[in-house]
Amino acid sequence: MPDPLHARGPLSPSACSYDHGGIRITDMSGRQVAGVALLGGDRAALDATVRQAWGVDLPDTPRIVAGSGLTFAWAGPDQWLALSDAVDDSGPDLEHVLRTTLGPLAAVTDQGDSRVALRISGPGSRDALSRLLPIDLHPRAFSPGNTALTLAGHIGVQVWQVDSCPTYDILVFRSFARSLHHDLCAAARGAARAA
Amino acid sequence: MSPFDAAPTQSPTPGPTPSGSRPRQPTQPFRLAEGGLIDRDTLVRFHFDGRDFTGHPGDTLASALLANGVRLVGRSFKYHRPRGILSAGPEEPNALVELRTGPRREPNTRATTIELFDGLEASSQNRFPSLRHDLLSINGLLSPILTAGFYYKTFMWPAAFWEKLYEPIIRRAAGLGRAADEADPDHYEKATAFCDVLVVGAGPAGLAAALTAGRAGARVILCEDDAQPGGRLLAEQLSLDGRPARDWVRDALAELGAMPEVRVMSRTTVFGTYDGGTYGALEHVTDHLAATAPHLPRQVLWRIVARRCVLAAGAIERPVVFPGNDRPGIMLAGAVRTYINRFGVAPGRKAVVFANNDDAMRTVADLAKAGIAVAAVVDSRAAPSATSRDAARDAGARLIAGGQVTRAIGGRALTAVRIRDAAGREDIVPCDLLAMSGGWNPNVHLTTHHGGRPEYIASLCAFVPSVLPPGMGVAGMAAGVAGTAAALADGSRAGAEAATACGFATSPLSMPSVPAEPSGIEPLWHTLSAFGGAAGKAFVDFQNDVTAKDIGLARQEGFRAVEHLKRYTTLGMATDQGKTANVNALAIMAELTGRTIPETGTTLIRPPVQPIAIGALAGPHRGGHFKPARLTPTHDWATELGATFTAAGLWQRAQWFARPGDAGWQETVNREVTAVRTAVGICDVTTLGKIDIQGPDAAAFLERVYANAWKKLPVGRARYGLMLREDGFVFDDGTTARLGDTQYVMTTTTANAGPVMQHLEFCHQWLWPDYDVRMISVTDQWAQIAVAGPKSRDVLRQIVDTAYDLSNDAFPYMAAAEITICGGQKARLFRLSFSGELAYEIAVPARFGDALVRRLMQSGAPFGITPYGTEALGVLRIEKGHPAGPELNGQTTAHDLGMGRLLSTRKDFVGRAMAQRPALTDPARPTLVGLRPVAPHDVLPAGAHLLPKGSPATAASDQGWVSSAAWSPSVGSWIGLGLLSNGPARHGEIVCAHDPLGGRVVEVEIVPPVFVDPTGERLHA
Amino acid sequence: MRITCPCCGERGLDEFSYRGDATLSRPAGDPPLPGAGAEAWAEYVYLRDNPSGPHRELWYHGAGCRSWLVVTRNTRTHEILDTERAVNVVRATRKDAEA
Repeated sequence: MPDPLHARGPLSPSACSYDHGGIRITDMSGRQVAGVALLGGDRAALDATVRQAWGVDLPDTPRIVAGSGLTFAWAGPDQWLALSDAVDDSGPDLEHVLRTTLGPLAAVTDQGDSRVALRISGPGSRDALSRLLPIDLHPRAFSPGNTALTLAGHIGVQVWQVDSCPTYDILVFRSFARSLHHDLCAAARGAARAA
Repeated sequence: MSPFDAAPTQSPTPGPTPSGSRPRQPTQPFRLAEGGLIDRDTLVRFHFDGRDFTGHPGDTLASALLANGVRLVGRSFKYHRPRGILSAGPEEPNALVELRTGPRREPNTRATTIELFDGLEASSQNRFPSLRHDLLSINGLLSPILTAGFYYKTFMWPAAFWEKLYEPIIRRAAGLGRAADEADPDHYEKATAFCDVLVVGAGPAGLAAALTAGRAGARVILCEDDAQPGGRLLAEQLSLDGRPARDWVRDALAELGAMPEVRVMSRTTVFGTYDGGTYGALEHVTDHLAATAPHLPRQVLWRIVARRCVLAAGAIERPVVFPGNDRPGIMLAGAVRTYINRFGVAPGRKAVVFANNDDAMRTVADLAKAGIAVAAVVDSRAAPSATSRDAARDAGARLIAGGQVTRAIGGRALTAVRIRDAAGREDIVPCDLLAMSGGWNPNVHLTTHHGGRPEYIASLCAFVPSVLPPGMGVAGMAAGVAGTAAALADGSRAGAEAATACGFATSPLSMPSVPAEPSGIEPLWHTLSAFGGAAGKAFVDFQNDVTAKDIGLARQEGFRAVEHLKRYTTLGMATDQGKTANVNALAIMAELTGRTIPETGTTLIRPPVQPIAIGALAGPHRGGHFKPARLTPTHDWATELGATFTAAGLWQRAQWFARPGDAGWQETVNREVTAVRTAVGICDVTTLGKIDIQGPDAAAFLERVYANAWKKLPVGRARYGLMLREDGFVFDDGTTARLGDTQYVMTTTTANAGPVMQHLEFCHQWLWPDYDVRMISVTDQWAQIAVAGPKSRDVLRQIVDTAYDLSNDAFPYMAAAEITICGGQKARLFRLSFSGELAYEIAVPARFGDALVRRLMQSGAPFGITPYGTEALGVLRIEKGHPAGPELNGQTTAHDLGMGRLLSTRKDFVGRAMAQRPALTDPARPTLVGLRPVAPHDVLPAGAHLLPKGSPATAASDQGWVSSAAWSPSVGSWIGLGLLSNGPARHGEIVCAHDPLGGRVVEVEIVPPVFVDPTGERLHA
Repeated sequence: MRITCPCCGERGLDEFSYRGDATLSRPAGDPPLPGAGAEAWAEYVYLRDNPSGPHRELWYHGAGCRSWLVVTRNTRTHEILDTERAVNVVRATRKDAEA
């Protein structure tokens, strides 16, 4: 039996951590992620199945909701990203679990390697992220549980607010991770300077 | 008692000095003993034209130069006239300097907006060899040929002389500063901000608007161009509730600063009004510092999205057009007050005030109060107001009612003015300062960017905003509301309206008591002498050297519409966009043509309101960060191997993997190609677009988007797919594999991954919404590696788990399967070949891509495994005649590429109808062929035109082109693909590949496009 | 310019791409061909009006939810009068046609 293959992220841990001026940036990759999209048009049946399995209502607006063991982030009309709670890829294969549970009600696609999650947190993180994202992150417009698909500079991202610290998670396609990380750190430096 | 700190001991404008020595000036001889918002306890040293001076924090370069008695600051654009300082703000047309040195040198910088910092270096521009002795001022003598339209008239013939002779001379003589020669070392940022109410301008109206909206709880952004908010409140002798106006400003700013939802952005110019409540603003973050600190941007380009906007940008004073009105020492009346009151500087020692309005009479009082003699007050109004009479009397000045300044006297500085009274008597009054005012022009610029034209109000002698962009209100002097009390009230009103519109409950500001401020005015655009030749040039546009006479010339030659006037004379086309010129010009044109000012109209004003550096527009997107880089999962591995990378769209792909001993890239590529043909090679193909398609109607959907048939593709097999645009031309190609009953994975070309996704969504959401199908990109999910060559199966056998049979029968060409490798690792295996060899593509979740490629290298070592890059990939596909980017260029059809037979006749698909147009299937269209030079070592240039042998190299005999070419180590010759008229019928014919860029003509033989293994034996091995 | 995506909310122009007239409908493409409906096809693929005022257009929110939208835009002022998901528009149109 040959040796198993070892995983490697696009950001090396040493290069990726940033902690200055009250802003921390960390690589939060590792959770299993799968795309879920309604098939067959029976939304009520999909809702019921999800509610029964994970105790949560699939959001119809750009929100992220936590169920038991699984979190769903709105990712477009009748589309979601399902994220495992575990921050590593232990536990049963998410794509398999979802396919088994949802059957023909939804298309399920593994996205765990497709996306890298960067977390930015600390008092200055809203200002930092505001420099990078063209959306309004003011608490009156965007609060914990809200998510948005948008552009960070020229890079497509999905962002959501985790808590009012504030903490934000930013999902980006893996191949862009280093570019986004560079831009995020630059924005953090700019925000630290302004503060 | 002298009003000055020290009496000057030498001429205020010193003569030339030997280079290398920097004589010290007496300390700021024109600094007033008191007053001003400057820090008198701190000295700031600066250099102008190589001379050392001092100023104080709070000074601008202009105020510091004036404090040091420097009045000659530059030479004009066309005539090289000596020029001084006209204004105290961003409208300055004359005092333009080169700021800083070396890579930070910035031309055409307005001395009136440069905040003084220690060590500042600036130099005058447009003079040769020195400012005082400018040899090119002879242009002034040549002025008969340099009048309006001279470009069009003078240098007509011969054409060749233009480029070689006229233009270099004109460029040397006319022009402004020099840009830096080196790359800008500073960095720039871009950011977006959101607010309920954007307030533009922090004068009385803007501050009142911000306070009113801020107190209501609205999110407010207050932008102020100047370093110090306050506007005219900082520049006037004015009390609010009996206290100095600056105290009121300080209190207002303190209150705004304490509001969490209010953001005051000073040094920030709002330069444009865009659609949907979007505004462009430029924040000067470090322009006022001696050196940019690390991590500090020089400027930030803000995009401000505001639900409502209050424009409170104030007004700009108008000069009067009279002969010699550009002499250093002639200044706008309001600017004189700014220098006295805000900067504590005496702009002269003996002044004349020339105006048509009451506002300018404040200048008379302020001059007198500062101890500056006022020799005369020239009020153009036949019946001067009580304000004028009182001001003149109090200042001990002679009042010339109904008078005019008919000309300015002096060369490099004003020495006297010639005055004519209402009775026509003339007199010469010695003076070194003329404060002039023709009234005020509201700053309407931001109201016009959507095409709105301002409206002329005769009682104000000014244009005010009329049709406003959606969501914008205007307050204070920008709306023609004159006077501090009125501006405060109007600002509060506008702030309340804006906040109310955003859903906030507002209450009006309690108004401070303000002394009466008379503002009576009667029109005066120019003096009667302005068109006379003898009295000299009367300037309308100082920066572009356009005179009243030029406007007369434009009228005479028929350029009477304002847009024609502008282009014919270049009026308003300099970097100041004619802020002090345009209204005077059109008023003069109105008068010359016997029309009213509203009939004459205004030119369209476009963004930006102030010049914006290209660097600020580029922001951080320059150099290596011009665009984001996408990296493949094997990027680090390839880097370790010393790969050379190339950009494929945003992707960085390994171009080749040079080894020590390779003589050059060609040898490397030959080695890589040969390894694939004789042993095995690996190449990261992750960059190909991958789209997961699921749903009961997935097959039916593929039938629509691909030109060929899909219904019969079994699970576990892949197929080549050709995608057309609706106009019938080829859009993209790739292979799509059926992984399950209702699941497919489509691949696209690297370049078209995004466009294909967009196209599929279009087909699904608009054309065929009833198909039950879903798509999601998995490009980044899977690391995909091509393993190609006769030994590829042997290598894969080392890592694929033994449960999977890789034999040709079990896993034939175009097979696809979900498998496991390396002891249970999930993976996908496709038997696809771009090279024509036995080949596979193996995919693993991207995090394992790095480990997979290293494992393949390790397991493949006994078989001679060799990594190859995009260059070898290109050679391999040309050898097999596979079309790629150069052939799929958006102008080729399936027939052109030899794939006409793929077009299904039994179904509807995107592009079907249009692809069958006779013109698109005409065999005379350039069609895919192989090309081989008659002499194998003749370089075949891609892009060369194909011509019949012996025919002239003309468009008429052009029959096609070389689309791709490479040296083929497998064939031992240069080979190429091309598109040639009637190509497939011409195999064996010799044609010429004509490359006019490289100056080469190569004889080539037309051959079938497959150079290696035409029967496909290797592919199916 | 800012467009309110029915799914994502108001966003800047750079998140969207423009396609064009949303009032055109694709001619029947099923066999028989060739030549059938050539004029209708030429019109669908190539001919476009240049209306002044409100115009129904197809836009794609590619940097957001990937929805195709029917945007009603005043071509003179760039005012966005309405936005709907294209899939809802086409379904409603078909329903109307059937009724």
